Amino acid sequence: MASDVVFNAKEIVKALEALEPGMKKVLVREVKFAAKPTISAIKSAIPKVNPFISSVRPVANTRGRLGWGVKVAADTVKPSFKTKASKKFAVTSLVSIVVSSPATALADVAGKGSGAVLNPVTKSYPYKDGSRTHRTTTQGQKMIKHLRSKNASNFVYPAAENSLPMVQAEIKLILERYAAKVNRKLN
Amino acid sequence: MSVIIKLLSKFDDSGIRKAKGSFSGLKGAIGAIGIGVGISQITDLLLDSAKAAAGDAKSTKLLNTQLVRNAGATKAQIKQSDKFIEKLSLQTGILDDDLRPAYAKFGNVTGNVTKAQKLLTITLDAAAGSGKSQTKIANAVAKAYDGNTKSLIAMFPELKKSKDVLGDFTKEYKGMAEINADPFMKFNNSMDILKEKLGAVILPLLSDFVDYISKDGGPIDQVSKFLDSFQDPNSDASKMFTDIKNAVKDAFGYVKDFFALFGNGDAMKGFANVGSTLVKMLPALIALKAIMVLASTGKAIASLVTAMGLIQGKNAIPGGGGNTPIVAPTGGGGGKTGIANKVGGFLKFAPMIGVGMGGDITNDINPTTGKTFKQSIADEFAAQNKARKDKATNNIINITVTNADPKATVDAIAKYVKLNGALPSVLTTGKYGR
Repeated sequence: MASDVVFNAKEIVKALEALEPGMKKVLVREVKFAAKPTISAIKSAIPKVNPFISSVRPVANTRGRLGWGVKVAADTVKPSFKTKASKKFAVTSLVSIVVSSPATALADVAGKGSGAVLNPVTKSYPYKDGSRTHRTTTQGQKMIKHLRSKNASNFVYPAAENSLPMVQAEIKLILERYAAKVNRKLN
Repeated sequence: MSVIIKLLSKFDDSGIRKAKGSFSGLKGAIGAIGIGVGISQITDLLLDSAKAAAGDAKSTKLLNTQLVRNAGATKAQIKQSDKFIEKLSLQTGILDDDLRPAYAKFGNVTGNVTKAQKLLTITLDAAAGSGKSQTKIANAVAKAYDGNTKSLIAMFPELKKSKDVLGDFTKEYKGMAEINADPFMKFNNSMDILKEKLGAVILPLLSDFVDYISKDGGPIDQVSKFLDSFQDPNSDASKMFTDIKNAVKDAFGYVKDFFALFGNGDAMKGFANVGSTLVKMLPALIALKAIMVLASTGKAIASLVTAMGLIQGKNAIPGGGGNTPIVAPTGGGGGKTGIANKVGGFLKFAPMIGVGMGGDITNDINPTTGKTFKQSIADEFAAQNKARKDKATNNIINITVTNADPKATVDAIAKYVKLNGALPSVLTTGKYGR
C-alpha cells in the first residue's frame, strides 16, 4: 500500500507554528478528522467478540497481557501525525492509522503463516530450581485453523482499502493548503 | 504490537545526518589513534598529543596548586585526584578540562579532597539528570554546602520541602551521569586521554629538542647568523650570490649575442632564422640531436655553435676537444657571412666558455700551433677551399678525417647515397656545390 511522500513537512509545521501559534494544532486536528472515514471502516471491521474463543477448544488464557480487550479495547483505532525524523530511515510515515490493541493485531495477521512448527522441542528455560524443555504444543495451529474457518483474520487492511485513496488525497490537500499559507506569509 | 496503516509519508534525512555526524566523530577519534593513517597523520597525531599533554599538564598543575593551598592536599591525595578526574571523565564522557574547574571550586569550598570529589559527582549526576548547566549546578551546590540552599532550591523546586536538601538532591540524581553518558563522547574521551598519555611521553623529548635547537651555537643560532651574513656585502655568502647573479646575467647576454649573429644584430630575428633553418633543412634533425647531446654534456653555448655549423652544412668548426674539421668546408665559410666569421665574432663575447671547451677557440694563442683560433680557422678554410677548387673538375669531394678510417667514411657516404638517393643538396648544388 504505497503512500505519497511529502518533503519538508517538519519545516512547514515549524514555520506554521512560528507564524501563527496554535496553527499546528488546527492542522493536526484537520488531518486527523480527514482520516475518520478510514478509521470508522477499520473499527467496523474489527470483530465485536473475541475471535480467539472457540466453542470446540477454548483458548486457555484470554485474560493475559495480550488478551482480547485487556488494557486496550480491541477496536482502538487512532490517527497519528508525526514529524519527528528517524535515525534509520529517510522516508517515514507522516500520517498513519494505528490499531493499537495487540490482540487485534494478532488476530489480523494470524493464519498468514504455514503453521509449521519450527522446533518440536522448546529451548531450555529456567524452571523452579533448574531448567527444562517441553514439546511444542499444537495449540497455535488450532488457533490459526479456527481463525481461518471464521474468516477472522486480515480485516484491517481490506477495510481501509476502500476509503484510503480519498482520505490520502484529502490529507494531501490539507497539507498543501497549509504549505501555501506558509509560503504566502513568508513571501 | 499494533497494526499501522500509512496514509502519507515524509522525507526527512535529518535524523540520519545526525547519526552520521556521531559516527564521523567516532571516525575522527579512530583516525586520531593512528588506525590506517599515513606518516603525516602520525606526525600530526604526535604533535597533537604533545599539545594536548601540554594543555593537560597546565590544567592539572593549576588544580593541584589550588588543592594544596585550599584543601591542604597531600602528594598521595593529589595523585589520587588525578586518577579520580580521569576515571570520572571516562565514566561520564565529560572532558577532564571541564571537570577540573568545578573540582577546584569544591576543593576551595570544602577544604577537603574527599568531600570535593563527592560534591563534584553529585553535580555531574544532577547536570546529566536534569539537563541543566553543570557550572550553574556546581555554583548552587557549593553554596548549598555552605548552608545557602536558596539557589539550589530555585533550580530544583522539588527540594523545597526537603529537610536535608543536599542529601535528598544526591539521592534523586545518583548515578545519572554514568547512565546518561554519550557512548561516543566516552569513546572520544578515552582517545583524548590516550593522546594525552602519548603526549606526556613525547613532551619531554620535544622539550629537549627545543632546548637543543635554541641553545647558543645551536641550529637556530647558526641559521640566524647565516641569514645575517647576507646583509654584509663582504661576506662569502653574499659574494657567492653576487657571482651567481652575474653569471646568470652574462649567460643571458651570451645567448642574446649568439642569436643576434643570425639576425643582423637582432636576437629575436636571429632566433626566428635559426628556427626556420632548423625546420627547413634536411640535417636539422641530426643537428637538433647534436644540440641536445652536446648541450647535455654541459658544453652549453659553444656546443650550439658546433651544432649550428652542422645545421648549415656550410663548414665545420672544431669540435669539443679537437681542432680539425670533420667535413671540409665547401666555400663561403671564411666569407663575411660565413659561419666561421660569425663564430669568430661571437667568440669575442665568450672567452670564458671557450676556455671551458678545452680547445683553442679564444683569442689566446695556442702554444701548439702558435696561432689564435680565428687564424687557425681562416688558414684551414683557405687550404680546404684551394683543394676543393683544384679537384672540382674531377667531380670529387675531398673528405678529411683525422684519426678515422677512410674506408669507413666512404662506406658511410655510400650508405647515405643508397638510402637517400643522392648527397645532400648543399654538397652537390648551389654556391657551395662543386
